[in-house]
Amino acid sequence: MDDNGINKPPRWVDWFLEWYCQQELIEEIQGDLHEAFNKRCHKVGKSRARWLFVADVVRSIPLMTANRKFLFNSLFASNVILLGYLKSVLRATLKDRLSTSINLISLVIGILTSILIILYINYELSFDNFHPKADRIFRVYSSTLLEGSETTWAKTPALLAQFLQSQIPQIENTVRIVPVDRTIFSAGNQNFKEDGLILADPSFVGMFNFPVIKGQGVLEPNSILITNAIAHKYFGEADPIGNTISIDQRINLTVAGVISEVPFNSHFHFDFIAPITIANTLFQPDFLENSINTTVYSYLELQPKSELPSKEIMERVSEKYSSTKIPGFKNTYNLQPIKSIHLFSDFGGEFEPNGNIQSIRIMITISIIVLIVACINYINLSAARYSKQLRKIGMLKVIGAGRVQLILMFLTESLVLTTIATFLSLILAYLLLPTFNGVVNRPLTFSNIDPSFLLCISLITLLSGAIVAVYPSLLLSGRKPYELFKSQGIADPAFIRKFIITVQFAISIIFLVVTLTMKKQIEYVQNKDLGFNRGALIILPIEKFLNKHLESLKHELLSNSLVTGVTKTSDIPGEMNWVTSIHYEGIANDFKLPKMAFLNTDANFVQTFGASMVKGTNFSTNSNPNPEYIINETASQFFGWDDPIGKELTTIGGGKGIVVGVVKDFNFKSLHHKIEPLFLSNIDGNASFLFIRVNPTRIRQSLTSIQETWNNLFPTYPFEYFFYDNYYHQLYRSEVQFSTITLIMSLLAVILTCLGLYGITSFSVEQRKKEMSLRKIFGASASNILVILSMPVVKVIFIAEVIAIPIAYYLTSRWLNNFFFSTDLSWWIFLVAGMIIIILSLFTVGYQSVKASLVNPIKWIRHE
Amino acid sequence: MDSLGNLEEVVLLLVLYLDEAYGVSVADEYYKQLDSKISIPAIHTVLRRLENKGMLTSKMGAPSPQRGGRRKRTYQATKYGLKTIDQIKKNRLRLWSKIPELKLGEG
Repeated sequence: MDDNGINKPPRWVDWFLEWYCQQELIEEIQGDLHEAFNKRCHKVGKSRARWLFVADVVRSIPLMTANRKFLFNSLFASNVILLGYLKSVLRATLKDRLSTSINLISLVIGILTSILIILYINYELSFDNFHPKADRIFRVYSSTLLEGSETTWAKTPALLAQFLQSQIPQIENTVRIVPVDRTIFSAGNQNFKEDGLILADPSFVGMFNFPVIKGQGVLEPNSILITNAIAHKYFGEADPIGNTISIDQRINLTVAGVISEVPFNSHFHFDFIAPITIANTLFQPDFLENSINTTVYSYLELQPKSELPSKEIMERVSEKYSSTKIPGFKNTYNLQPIKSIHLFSDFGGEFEPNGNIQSIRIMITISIIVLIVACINYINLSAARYSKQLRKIGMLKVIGAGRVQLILMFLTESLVLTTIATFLSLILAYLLLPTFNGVVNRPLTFSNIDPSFLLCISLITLLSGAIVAVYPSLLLSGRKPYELFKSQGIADPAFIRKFIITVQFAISIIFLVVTLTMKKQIEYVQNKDLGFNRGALIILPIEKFLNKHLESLKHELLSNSLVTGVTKTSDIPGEMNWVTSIHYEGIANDFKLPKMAFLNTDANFVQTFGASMVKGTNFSTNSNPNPEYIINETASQFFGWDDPIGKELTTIGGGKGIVVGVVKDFNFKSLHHKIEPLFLSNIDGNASFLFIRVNPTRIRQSLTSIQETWNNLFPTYPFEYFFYDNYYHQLYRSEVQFSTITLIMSLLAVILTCLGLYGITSFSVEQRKKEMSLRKIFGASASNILVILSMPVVKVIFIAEVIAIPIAYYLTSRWLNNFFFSTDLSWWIFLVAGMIIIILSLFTVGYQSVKASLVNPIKWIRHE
Repeated sequence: MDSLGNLEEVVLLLVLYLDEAYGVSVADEYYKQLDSKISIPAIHTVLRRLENKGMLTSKMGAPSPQRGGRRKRTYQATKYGLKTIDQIKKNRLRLWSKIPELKLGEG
């Protein structure tokens, strides 16, 4: 009640009335409605009066619109039609539950995949954006031009950063980072082997944003900064500040700060930051003065609002550096923005394996495909539905619905469904997010979404709604009413349905073939004979300073009855990135020294590993003054030696020596690569790994006893091990991940296709009711009917298979080209994929066909 | 002579005998007489249509507090409207008179 004692009607609605209504009419309309409102307040109560007021305002809309411009007229003039149609749409939707739920499920699947993929892409684009200066921070990378081919490397020489700062005025700050893995840390009386150490200049703290939660967080020459997890691991609940941590048991540092965990979306991660000055002690005395070797990551911070140094400037400065510091080498140094590293950077020597712009493109394509297939399903089913409603649409036109209005109706109808689907998808996305995170290995969450995410989702909803409304709009809204009454022909030419379902089948078959091929290749790769024995092989990583005790360790292990072989190696067959230059007998004089992969090991290698010699002898066990080499068959061919035994081979690590034996080729790299030349050497040097072959039936016991031996010999060094076959499986991790994704895609495509098939089959069965009944009357048996109804589907699947085969063939052979060793593209995979589709389709169609074939024909004919 | 729809005819009749014929009063009287609810905008539409056909004229009346100070538009029948409705009545009565008493009594 206001001061006049008169009730006020609902404010918003009243304001709308005032806004919408023309000036000449406002008094009479609003006045009448207010008066009625007051009366009703007394007669039927305030809430009923409010409701009636709203109804009256809505009903007054055509009154208020009557003299307005033509477009508005079309839209709202006869909203009676609009309301009436919406009511009938709602009724029809609820009645035809089958059709609606199929549409809803299809749309939900499509929108759900889009939502998940948007979250993924959003996250991938957000790497390294938590540094406030991120737009001014760049990383320096080196590129070397060697005989026409350019090698890029993410690391740079230790002296470069300072040189660049002296030459380029825009550089405000520089930082060098050196990652160190497999370091022994000691705190109190505990030892840990850690991989997460980085050495950095003190400017690290100012340039990057890793919040300090305890202590000062300043990187002084004797300090170390640790993450929260490390603080708990090493010091429990006690305050770590001021405590001492030693590295390699010889460098003591004081904890000066605790940092919160490094977020996942950073291109580098660490657990400890130590001053870079200890590099001279940790590695070698002139590590930081080295101007040639690319050993550090260099980052630059530019002054705010300054220009990025141009390519020419960088070239000039690089020249200057090269000519003054590293004569004879021509390197160019260039800058990359820090935020682009995760997605685009793929140089040699990256800090961590980066993401891939390629994978993002694939994800976007996949989501678009799934969304389109979902929309296609909807369009397909709608076509069937609209053809039943031609008469109704014709009536609407007759009573005055304009073209714009009809299009609006179709849009509203489809938007309602799309909006419901979006809400359901959001809920499902929230529930399924943890599983999705498991598959794609990212910590995606809804908590940090910004308005652009909501904008994207709304866009998807609107677009889907618009896409599915296009079909009836184009086909039906423009026709004259008499055409719509005439016959059923125009709304759904049967071939459109067939075409669409064929496309869906083809897509499903392609996905299935790709998935099956991937699985087959993965199985092939995991089980192929590599030329050595993979099982029961335990590997211990060996730190540099343990090398002096290596012989005693080997001796102890060999005396263990469960151990059948022990050998030291410089690298693990599998990744094997190290190559070195060699000189060999018979090389042409002006030939550039080739590089070759190598393993520095000992005489036990062949036996422990399970390889076999084909020529010559193993390394001699008593010390031979001349270095000995064993080469593999491919190397022997490479050198062009008929009889390799006794030939001279000179390497940088070993010096001049002779070849004593040839080992049978084995895969020392993953099966992506062909077998390359390899040499084994027997030089007393630092080994990185110890390979131990144990009794395959007593693996657990062997492990325990090896650990005992280790702990006896090295009580202060933690015991670490892994099995070779586990390591080997890791090499194909990305393929396995990718195959999981394609498997999911296949499932989605197949589900959507079957849903669509179910929908149009039910429609087609209904269409052919009369025909089926007549056939039954004339003597067709139930199984005949079944066959007749299923035949079109099988034909369509055949066509789909034919279309799918070349595309699937192309895609799979492209993917298989990543592997040098691959299974063949078996024809039975195509067959199996087709079979799966046929069986599923027959199930889908079968249920309805059986129902149709069992019904009493009289019932249907009479219905006409 | 224009023809009148059923609702138009009823509304015209109401306007003829109501003292002050405007949206609310016609709607109320309609409900009172015919025991069937009708929305005010529907009445508005019919009144305006009748005016467009020339059977009614309208003028703006006095403001009133129940209307928050807004004026109301009241309607009156024109001569043409009177003539039309009279003709309709005459036609109806003539037809009614032809139906024998007996038939009317049943059902």
